[in-house]
Amino acid sequence: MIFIVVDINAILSALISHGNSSMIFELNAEKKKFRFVAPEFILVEAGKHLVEIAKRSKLPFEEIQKDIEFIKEQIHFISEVYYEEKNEKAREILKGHQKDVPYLALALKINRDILSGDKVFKQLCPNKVKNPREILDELSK
Amino acid sequence: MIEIMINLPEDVERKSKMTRAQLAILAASLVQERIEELVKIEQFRKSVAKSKLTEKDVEEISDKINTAMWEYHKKKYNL
Repeated sequence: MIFIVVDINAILSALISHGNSSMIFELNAEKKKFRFVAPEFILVEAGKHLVEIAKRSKLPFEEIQKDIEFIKEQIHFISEVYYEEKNEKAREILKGHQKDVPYLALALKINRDILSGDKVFKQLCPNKVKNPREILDELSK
Repeated sequence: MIEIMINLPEDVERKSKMTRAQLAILAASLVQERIEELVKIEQFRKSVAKSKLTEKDVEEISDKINTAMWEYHKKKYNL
């Protein structure tokens, strides 16, 4: 099993119909090739936006809850205390793009890649950030 | 309950050091577990196929979550 950090964009993109991210979580549930890892904070914060997600998806609240549960089962959530020593280094690398510092700090700490659809993040860390297409190709092998 | 018959190579039985009854219980629980997994995958696939969520929605919500997370880290670790 390969550990890989996943950002909130890739997680929520799994709720877009016929997208690469939803295929990733479907295929991975079957093949169990990746174990996704994410900062614990997004778990709390995403919970605050559940109603909004349900509303925008036009799916019943209970159904979106189940879908998110399905995705969450494949993610291991890590406390920020675990990767705090890498925050400064991640901040230096990301310069102006600081909102992704926690993901990069976690990836540096566990020495793994990041699954993200964020183009700026990919530009700043081309060797560390893998887009959904790359991960899907990896899963389809 | 339904009854199914499975064939296992003899060396698997030998290596397992289990009785046939124990192997049958193990096989039944593995089949049940796998089917439950496949049902969940199918439910997810069907549900997401109906979703009207767009890339713009995801970008906007992700941005709010990432901003909140960064603010929290910045404050907690004096970044």
